[in-house]
Amino acid sequence: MTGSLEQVTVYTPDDRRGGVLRTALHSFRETWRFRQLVWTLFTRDFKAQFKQSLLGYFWTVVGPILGVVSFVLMNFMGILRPGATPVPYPLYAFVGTSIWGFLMSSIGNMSGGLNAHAELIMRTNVPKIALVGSALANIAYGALVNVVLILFFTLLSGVPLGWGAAVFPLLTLPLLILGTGIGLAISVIGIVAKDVSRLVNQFFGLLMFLTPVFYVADQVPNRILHRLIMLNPLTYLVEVPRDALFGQPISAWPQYWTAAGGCFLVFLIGIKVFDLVQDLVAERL
Amino acid sequence: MSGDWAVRVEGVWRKFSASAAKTLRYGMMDTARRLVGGTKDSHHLRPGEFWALQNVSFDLRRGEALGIMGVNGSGKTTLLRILNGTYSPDQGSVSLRGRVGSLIAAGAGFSPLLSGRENIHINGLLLGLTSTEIRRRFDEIVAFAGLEEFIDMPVRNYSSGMAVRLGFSIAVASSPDILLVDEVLAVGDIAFQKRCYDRIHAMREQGTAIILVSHSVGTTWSVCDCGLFLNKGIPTGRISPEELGRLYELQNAKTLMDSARRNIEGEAKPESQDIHQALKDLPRDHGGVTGGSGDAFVDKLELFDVRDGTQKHEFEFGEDIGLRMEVYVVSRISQAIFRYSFDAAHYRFICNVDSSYADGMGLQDLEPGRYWVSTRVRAPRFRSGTYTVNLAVCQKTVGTHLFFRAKAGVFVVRPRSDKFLHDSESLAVVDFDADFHCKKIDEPRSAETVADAPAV
Repeated sequence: MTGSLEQVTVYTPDDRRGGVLRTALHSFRETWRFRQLVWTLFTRDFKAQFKQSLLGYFWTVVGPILGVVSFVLMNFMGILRPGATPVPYPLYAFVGTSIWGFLMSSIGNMSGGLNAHAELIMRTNVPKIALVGSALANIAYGALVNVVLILFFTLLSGVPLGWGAAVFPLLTLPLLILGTGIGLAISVIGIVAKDVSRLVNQFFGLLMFLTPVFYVADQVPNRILHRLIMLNPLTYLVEVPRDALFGQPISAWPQYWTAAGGCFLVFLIGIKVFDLVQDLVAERL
Repeated sequence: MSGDWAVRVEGVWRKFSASAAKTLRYGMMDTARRLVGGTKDSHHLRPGEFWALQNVSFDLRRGEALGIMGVNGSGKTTLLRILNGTYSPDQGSVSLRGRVGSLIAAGAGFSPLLSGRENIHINGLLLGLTSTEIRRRFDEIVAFAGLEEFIDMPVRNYSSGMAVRLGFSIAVASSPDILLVDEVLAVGDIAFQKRCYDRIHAMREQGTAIILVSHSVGTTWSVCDCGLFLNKGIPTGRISPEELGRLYELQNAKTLMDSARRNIEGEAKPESQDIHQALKDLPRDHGGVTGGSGDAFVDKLELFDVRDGTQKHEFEFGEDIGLRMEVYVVSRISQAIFRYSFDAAHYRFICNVDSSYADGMGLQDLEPGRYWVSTRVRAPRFRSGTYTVNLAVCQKTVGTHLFFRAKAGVFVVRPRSDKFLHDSESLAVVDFDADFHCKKIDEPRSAETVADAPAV
């Protein structure tokens, strides 16, 4: 036998007590307990995805590049005046949209997690958080590819890498954490209320224009809009890593760290929401 | 009970709402309540909700096997999912000691594009094994499934039997402390099925507690030493597997009878209808459920208790069955014959009773008029189940029906209470008392010959 007879599992109604931190710790432990599974599911999905696609790994690279083409085109046509960028505009926009992409892909991957694993949720007793956690590996992979691309294109354009190139991936972590937290909450609420997921996507689509992703914040002439942009915490989460990458001076550290703290809080709340509601969604999968 | 339980279920209640719209609305309400620190409204039924499980309690010790049976919608899958942690109970609690292996669907989570080898790894992890444990048991799993040559082939190219065999092999190889099984024992060929049963038996002897949800009386009887019957979410206490089988068969038969009776009553003609009109409309061929030459007509058939003549539709095993029908004779019938035949669920015309050779009446000449014809079927050997009655009025000198009606009545035979009748497919319809004797006539030719018998 397994010698695990001391381990007693108890299921009771509403057994979701404890504060935000305790829930988060518990969720981490559960995911860690199934870390091999999380990893295997990730590699499985990854392999399965690429075995079927004719162009395979090509898409991972082409996706982010295509994402920036529209901005560059608008810039060349003179429709988009992004202001004086410290590096060539295509590179500037590419880095900006890549960083923004971290947020969107983490929301998207996380929020789809429960539906993607509906079969396993109904038929195995792997904790739901661990199954959804396997999306985390997906997010990490996407981020990794993007970071490599960013470094490659930066070097290709002859832009000297700043001191921050080394810490650039770390500086984008708050956005990943934020997206994961939001995605976790959506993954459960979105199953009960289907519109939530679409609503959040639209909201962030709009929010991107209030974040200096593909333009320079200081070049916005409208004072109210400029004020809004400066109030938007995401501004610092995008600007600081990018400035660090290109070796620009950074004055917004306090705002950045405040926003990063906020991201972590959203993450904890996301886990709590997931934990609170997860058992209600099982019957709706 | 002492402290050596493996599974303890205490007062579990669970409700669902019947309509999708209500599910959505209540889901949103419950979500909102949870998010503001409240609890799910789990003690009352809101409009449109029903209890899928009501106050289910049982203890299961290590090495015991519990069979859970019930007709569709009785709540057994819900109970299994609560035991598996998929659903939370609304009230009560479930405690499980040790590692739980689920065979809720053997091969859940197989990726069709990956090889059997890779899928063993993933499935093992899903069942809570570590990579090391999977590697150690890998050969055993493959050998048990009998898939040595195919293990590097994508699962997509497996036959469904091969996939299920692999899934089962992984689940039993995980040697769980508690095994939850949902109706997946009867897979693969006979030799594989026997290996499965042997394995399950061996697991029990090593202390695994087994909970088996099944529709098969034979399987439950083979595997389990106690049972729990669910009827619309209401459990019996802990009962014997024999009692479990009886309750299940009876419930099944009653459900079948109810739908058959609804059909019959749906076809029945209104009382006010003129008998002459009915005769005129009577089909003159054998195509439908009723027909005849127009010389006789039977309006109704009643089944009754032979002791007091009261109508009933449920009979004990071996109990006399009373049948009576009201016959309108339109034109004179010489040497009239009345005949009943019986259909079981899976077979038609399993037996006849016929007035031409039955005791009492013999052949009679009938003048036009109305007659009550009553019949007593003595000590029939019907096994428990649902039976329908077909009736016919004939004439010895005429080689065709004067009147016939198929599915004129329906009744249920309750399971034998004095002995447990079981067969794996539950297709047998009659039971005879028989004496068996067994005596050894020869030694096996030699140990080698037996071992050399072709492995299937």
